[in-house]
Amino acid sequence: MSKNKSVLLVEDESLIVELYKERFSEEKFDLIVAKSGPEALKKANGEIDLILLDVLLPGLNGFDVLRKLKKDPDTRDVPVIILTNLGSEHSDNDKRLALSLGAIDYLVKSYHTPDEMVEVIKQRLYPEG
Amino acid sequence: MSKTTRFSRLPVIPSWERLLTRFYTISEATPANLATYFGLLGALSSNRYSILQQIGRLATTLPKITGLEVVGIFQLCLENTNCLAANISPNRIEMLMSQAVFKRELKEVTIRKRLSGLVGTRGKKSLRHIVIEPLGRYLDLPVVLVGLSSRAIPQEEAKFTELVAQIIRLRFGHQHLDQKLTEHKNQFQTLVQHLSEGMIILNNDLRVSLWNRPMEKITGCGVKDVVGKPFEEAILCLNKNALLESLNQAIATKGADQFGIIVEVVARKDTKLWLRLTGSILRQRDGKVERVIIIAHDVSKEKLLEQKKNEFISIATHEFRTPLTVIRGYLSLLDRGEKKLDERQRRYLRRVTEASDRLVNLTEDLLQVAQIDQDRLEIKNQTFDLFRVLKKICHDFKAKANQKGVSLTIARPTFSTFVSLDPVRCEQIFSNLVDNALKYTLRGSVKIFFEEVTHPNQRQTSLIVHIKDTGIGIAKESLEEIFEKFRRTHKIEEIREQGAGLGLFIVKSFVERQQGTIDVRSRHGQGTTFSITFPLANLGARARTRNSDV
Repeated sequence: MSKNKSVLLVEDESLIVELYKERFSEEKFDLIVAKSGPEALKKANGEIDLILLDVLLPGLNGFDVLRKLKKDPDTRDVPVIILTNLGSEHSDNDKRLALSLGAIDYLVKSYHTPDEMVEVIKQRLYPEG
Repeated sequence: MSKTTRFSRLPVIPSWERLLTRFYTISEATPANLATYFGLLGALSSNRYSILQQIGRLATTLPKITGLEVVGIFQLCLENTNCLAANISPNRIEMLMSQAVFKRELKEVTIRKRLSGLVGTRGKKSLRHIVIEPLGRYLDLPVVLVGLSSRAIPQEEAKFTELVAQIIRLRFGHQHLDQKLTEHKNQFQTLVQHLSEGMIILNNDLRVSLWNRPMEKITGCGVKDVVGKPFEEAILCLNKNALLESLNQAIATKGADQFGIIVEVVARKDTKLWLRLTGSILRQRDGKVERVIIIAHDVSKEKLLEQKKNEFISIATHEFRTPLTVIRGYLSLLDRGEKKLDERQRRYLRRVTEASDRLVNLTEDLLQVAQIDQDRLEIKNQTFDLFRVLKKICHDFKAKANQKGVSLTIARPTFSTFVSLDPVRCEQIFSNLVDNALKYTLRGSVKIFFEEVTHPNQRQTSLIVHIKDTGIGIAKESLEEIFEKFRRTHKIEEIREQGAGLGLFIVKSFVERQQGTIDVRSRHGQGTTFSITFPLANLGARARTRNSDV
């Protein structure tokens, strides 16, 4: 069997990081955590299968991180989901901006339980089921 | 006398040509005299001199070109006369005027009565003849010209005097009108310039014709910089298109004479401010625009306050959401391992989950309100079957209804219920209303049914969704307030469940943003019916055919 898929969670709020770690540890994929914008850019590479990216981050905000990821040929093709507590999923300036910058989705953290997040990640990592 | 009667039939305001022609025909004057006569007439008709200057000129010139030896122009007061101009010294003319005969004659002179011709006099023996011509009114008092002569006044001279008097009368008339006009103008100017609001008047081609002082103050644009400019150039407005759209729509709509819009304007030194513009369109009989009057009120402070409030709500929501994510997250993890919990722990878990759910809803509601207030609500229309959405909502709330022992039913409509609306907003609208109905219904039922209404004259079809409950109802006096922010009508002791009272405000905003209307009928203690109507514009024709294909 090939090596585990890996997910980069960019999140500065340790309470949230701990919550997701708790649940994601039950799954097969590896979780890498970055707690700031610059750290996210350092840890992101072509080997990553999915990036969950917060917007309000120390150092560099999520949108700027997203711009840089999409410019770098190494990380350009890594799918990025914006996972934030800003705005709304239905229609929002932030959502529009995120999608225009190349994010594949815009999710509001408080709308989704860890279980649901696992579902979102699994759908992305193993689309064939 | 025949000659006086002849000339009393003059037109009221004779034109210059006629005056001159008449003078030609009656005049036996020599060509040399004529030049002098015309010189005076020309001078009198010139607008370059004030009326008092003209009177002075008349008093000094008339004796030179006629046989009149003394010419005085008097303003008739109640008791005495006031000499405005004369060709002799003021002392002498006063002496003349003090003589009884003048007093008697002058007393009878009114603005309408003309006295001319030969009048026998006593007193100064050499001045036996008098001609009196009324000249009109000056400062609301009658003014007359008095000419005295020691010899009989020839007909030609009397006519000429009459003619110049007529000219002066016209000038006085104009002066009077001018005065009135100036008075009104001044009043208008005072009013306009001292208004506390900005005022703009546009003429029929929508160029600025008036820009008052408050407007200068508000925008920092001087009147000289804007008058004559097209409106859209004069007002440096950020949402110019919205402004022009609002204005043009009001102009284009027959019978619409008002428009109102709040615009963001770039003022002096690049500062931005918000103006509430309220316009009235004045039309000609044919409906064309004659003038547009716009009152501008600076609402920057209110806007700023509102912006700050909304920013605060946005930030607060974000800050609330983070701990809520964690609370709900762990609750959901606990819930997965529920089997390991005892009955009491499970009960506690349910309560905490309920409470956290409520907190989440409240937070989301607050964010929605901020979006509505900021006009940031986005509507993404697509064609879908509204019945399906409601059926799903019914399904979702079935458990809650069963738990309360309330029946929740939806009637399948016999007609198409396809609409072109925002499905997510619709779900929010109807979930909220169904949730509300269940919340306030302790026994009985909540029924959802559809109605199709075709307006006979407009060939329009609307779809109405009724949500009828047998709940506690809403008191009559509260019915009007239920759609306001932070209002809850039901008394706390009557009902256990509570919310922030934002639900119906959001529902109404969502309905109205989709060109719908919401009505409520209720009887206290007997139940409430909410009826939501969406007009034809949102009922897609495409969907109808698609529906019939199915």
